Amino acid sequence: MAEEITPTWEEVARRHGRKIYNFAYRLTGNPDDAADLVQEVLLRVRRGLHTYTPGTFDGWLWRITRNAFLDGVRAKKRRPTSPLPEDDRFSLGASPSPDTVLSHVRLSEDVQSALLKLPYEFRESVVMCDVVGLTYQEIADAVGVPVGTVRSRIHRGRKMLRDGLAWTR
Amino acid sequence: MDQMTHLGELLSAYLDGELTGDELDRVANHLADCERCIGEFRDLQSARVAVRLLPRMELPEKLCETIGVEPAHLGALLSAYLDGELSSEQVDRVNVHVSTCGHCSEELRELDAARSAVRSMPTLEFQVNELSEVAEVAELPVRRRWLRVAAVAAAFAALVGAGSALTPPATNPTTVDLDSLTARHAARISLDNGVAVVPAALTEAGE
Repeated sequence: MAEEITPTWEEVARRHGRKIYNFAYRLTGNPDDAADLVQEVLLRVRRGLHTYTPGTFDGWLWRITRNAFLDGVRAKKRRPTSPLPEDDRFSLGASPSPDTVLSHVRLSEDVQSALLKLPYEFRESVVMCDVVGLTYQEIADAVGVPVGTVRSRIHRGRKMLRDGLAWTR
Repeated sequence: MDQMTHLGELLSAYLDGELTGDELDRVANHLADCERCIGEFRDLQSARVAVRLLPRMELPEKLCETIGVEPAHLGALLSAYLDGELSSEQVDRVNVHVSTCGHCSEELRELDAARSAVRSMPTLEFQVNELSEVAEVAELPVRRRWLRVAAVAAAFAALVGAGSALTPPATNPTTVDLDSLTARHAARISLDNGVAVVPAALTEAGE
């Protein structure tokens, strides 16, 4: 979303801190990693705010956020997720009975768990879209891929989630 | 229908409001008569909603201090939480927040204690012979009725204040016949109407 005036660092912390925290929390399921990311992103924003050109703040901020996240993952020398499934299609195990399906899928722990099983690229796009609320174009700008790739990742990510949560059928 | 003609990833983009022009028309037309794509649309919609309904985490207090942001607290949500008046999403939000926020966790404990204290107060019996006082009030003109309502309310407050020291009524309160109950119910309705015009009655009294 375009902004004409460069925000101050304090405004970035106040207006975007919670979104950045939720982005990292849903990507990792880990509150400590999420808090670390917020601090790292704000540090980078403070250092780089003078280089920002008004008009593309969200794209700029989320590019920084994503890079900080991936740098943090690399620094810890581990994957950003629990072990990935060998195939795109996966299951959380035996399907629950039809009577319990609806109550199960409403549990945020189940959704978080299914989210963590998505391959990173798909999870990232789904979280940016459905948790952060970015448009496909903003996600494409932040991730550095074409909009068509974002569309495909979100679609495939949701299909995997649907299968992972063992919905109806 | 040929598989190649199905909508695939257009469905997710459609859900997100990311389609325009020809693609939007194509999805709308196709969904009108393709059961398979309608089913896939519903599945994708469910997955989308599930993620969007994940509770939004508040910034932990410690992080707020570090980055100089005022922490968001739950306030009135806490009482509604104790009373079971929140949606499941709001309950999730409170559970998550309270687990990391010392301020709200402490406030929740205090509210719970206050709520329990009020709820543990003894329930007093309201005797039939006191009710008859109220029934009589309904027969009075509005202005006098209001004065009597105030008098009865004061008397009732005094009775409540007396608490467990209330003495048993001379008559057995359980021996109430149906006609008596009906008459008192009618009086109650009449009384309620009278109370509803209290502001006007007070104005008259002040003239």
